[in-house]
Amino acid sequence: MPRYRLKYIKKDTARYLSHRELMTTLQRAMKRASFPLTYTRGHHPRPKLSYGPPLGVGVAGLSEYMDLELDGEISTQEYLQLLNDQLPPGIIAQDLVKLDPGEMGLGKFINCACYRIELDSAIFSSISTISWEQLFIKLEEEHPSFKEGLLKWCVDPAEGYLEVLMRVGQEGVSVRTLLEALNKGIGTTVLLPTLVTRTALFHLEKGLITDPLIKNTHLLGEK
Amino acid sequence: MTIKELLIEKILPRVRRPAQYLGTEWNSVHKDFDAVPVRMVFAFPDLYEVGMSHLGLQILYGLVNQRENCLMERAFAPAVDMEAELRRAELPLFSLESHRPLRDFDVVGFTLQYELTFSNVLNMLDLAGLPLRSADRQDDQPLVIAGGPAAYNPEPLAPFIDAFLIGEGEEAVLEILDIVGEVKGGKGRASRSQLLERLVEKPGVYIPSYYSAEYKKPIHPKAPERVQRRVVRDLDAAYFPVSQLVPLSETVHERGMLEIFRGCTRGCRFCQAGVIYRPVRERKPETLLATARDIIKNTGFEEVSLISLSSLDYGALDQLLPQLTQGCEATRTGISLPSLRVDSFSVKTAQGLPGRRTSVTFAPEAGTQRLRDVINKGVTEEDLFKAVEAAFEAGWFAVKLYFMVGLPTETIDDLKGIADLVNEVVQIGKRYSRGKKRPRVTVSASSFVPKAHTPFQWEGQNSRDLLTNKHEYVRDLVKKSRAEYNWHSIDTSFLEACFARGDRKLADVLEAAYKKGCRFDGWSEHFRFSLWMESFQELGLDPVDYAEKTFTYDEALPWDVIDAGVSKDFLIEEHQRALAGKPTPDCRTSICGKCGVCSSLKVANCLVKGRGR
Repeated sequence: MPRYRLKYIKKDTARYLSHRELMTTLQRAMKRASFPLTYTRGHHPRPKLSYGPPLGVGVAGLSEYMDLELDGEISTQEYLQLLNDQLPPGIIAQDLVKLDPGEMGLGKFINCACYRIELDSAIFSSISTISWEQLFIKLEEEHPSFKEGLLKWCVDPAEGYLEVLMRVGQEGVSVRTLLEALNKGIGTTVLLPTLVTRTALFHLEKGLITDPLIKNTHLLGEK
Repeated sequence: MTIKELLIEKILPRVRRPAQYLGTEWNSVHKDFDAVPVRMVFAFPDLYEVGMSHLGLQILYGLVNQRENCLMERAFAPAVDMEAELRRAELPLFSLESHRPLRDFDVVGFTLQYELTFSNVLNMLDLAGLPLRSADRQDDQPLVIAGGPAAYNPEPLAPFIDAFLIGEGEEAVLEILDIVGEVKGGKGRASRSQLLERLVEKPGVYIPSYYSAEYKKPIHPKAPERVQRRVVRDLDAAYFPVSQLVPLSETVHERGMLEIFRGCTRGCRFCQAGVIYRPVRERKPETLLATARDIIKNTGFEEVSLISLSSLDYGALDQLLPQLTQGCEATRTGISLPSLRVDSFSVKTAQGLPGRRTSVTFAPEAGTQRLRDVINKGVTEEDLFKAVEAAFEAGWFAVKLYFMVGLPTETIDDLKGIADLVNEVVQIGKRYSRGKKRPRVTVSASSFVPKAHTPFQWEGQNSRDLLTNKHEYVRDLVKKSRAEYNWHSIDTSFLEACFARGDRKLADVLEAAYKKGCRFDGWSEHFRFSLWMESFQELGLDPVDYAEKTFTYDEALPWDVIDAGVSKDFLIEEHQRALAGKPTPDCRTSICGKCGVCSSLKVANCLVKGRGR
């Protein structure tokens, strides 16, 4: 059966959906949009859908993915429109592509993610660039998982954000852990998941990062 | 900052399961608030996860929003963490769709599904910034109305509610909104006193302030002696929502609701629903098939549930189910039945339906044939054993049995009878063991709560001590068969009994308990029984007098002002037949029992296959 990969956005008020709520919402929207979903056998058939790494409650995602197996070929442009007609506010289907047979599933493929954390000017004025360096050195000392899991970080005081590239999955760092560590390190409590946006999901291997959809490959640090 | 901005930016980041407060569910209706002349908010005095599974909300929401000149939005009781945030930010309770404070609506309508949500009604009024008591509210403040099964004894809430709507709401709610529109005219606000003057003429409307508090004689010239409940005569032609709200946050039941009929005439003598939804009105199979198809298409739900008080009694199941199953095939939509009748036919029917199979539930309610005859539960031991056998044979591996403890005339033999039945079910189950694993048998036991308008309305509840002893006795016996025994909190059932048959004096108790912090009393984690007991005591009332009170037949009952259509003579006769252990047949399949509903409400059973199928 043909497999497709959907790229979508979760933002605005929809950022408050949990992973599970989002999965149910997408599944019902596809059903309403009459996607020819392939179901598992048995008494409790479920559509064969698989999702990228979960996004926590409050966290937005600008490049999220899911894979779906269908009973037949579809016109991707037409079904992208049909799906968008059925999605509640804040969830936007951006792209739908057919996968080549044997293509790696999302769960295996995606192993790193880029997050942007909005910070207010008060935090920037209290921390100089040098102390950001010290902060992250301290975080890595306190949290051994950060050494492997936290790949890169940068701050942009002009735009008002901190950006981090992290591994996802078992070797990864969770957003919650990161926020807790940052709150503690900076001495604040204001860093909540709602300030976090996942901007990208990648496959990282041997210093090369690959996008799940367009398969553009970059060297890590190139962008 | 608007309420919406504050909510999204400041409050939602701090509460659990924020998606329940977004109001952007699929099929939610967002009208231009300022452009719609008549606005009502449906206030559900329990959590989102409960309220969103409520059929009445879906019906009225769809119905009112179909009208161009009306809108209906939703408000649920905010969870405890959300309430704290609202109070901290000094934000009023708002509707989910347009985030408008409840006080901006013309009508605030509560549904009363359960007595233990009453404290939430007060809390929602308070959070809305409205005075709790009608008498304290300004003339231009919203009209506060309430309906639902617990409105059949409206007295404990009488001082807080401007008008109760007794009975089915499909027709009446539109009539009420028409009057609101007329009285409001082009003005910003309708006068509440003028509204009530008009509403009193509508059948089904009970306006407590138009009656004397002491035994409810009308003190307003137009107020009727008794308020007769509303009933929809032609249910098949009545509005039914096919674009049901699809919850964003998880709820108790996430499924499309297909109401196949309304009313139940089996006549279980403890059951209030069996009285207040009479007569039986079945929808035509072709109507139901078309409705089901649209529900699935418009919601994308994984399951459709056939809703009614006893779905296996539907007269055209043999027509409906095969076609419905076929219609659900392509989208793998499951079909569920909310409860099964205790017989093997039910099990075989359920077995044929597509969908998830977790456990199967039967409700024999009492442990001996004698007591089942007393309560008119037409189920025999043999029915139960055959049903259970059929369930295990069909592959179910968990059986749940519902019993009620503390029923009138109950003796220790009846309690022992529960344990014997359970033991026999366990023994049947053993024959279907898989290796060392035996099927799971769970007993769920409630305590009898006498309800208004039932043949048991005169009966007192057993004392809490006696109920405790009874449950412990049955539990110990049941444990020997290695079945699980769960019983509902006795304190909860006790309070439920106080309010189910309480009078207007309980309003003060309710207000006192609410002010001490009681809310979500139906939730064990929030129930604070001691605060309730303190409140009774402070007002010089003994809750035992309410829960355990035995009324005499000639005594005036607090709910006499409400006419549920069933005659008091019939209820008395049923009560006496109960005490004599005489069953009464179901008028759906047998002769008319002369309950009085059809003649007084000018209705009749409406069966798709005629009487005596």
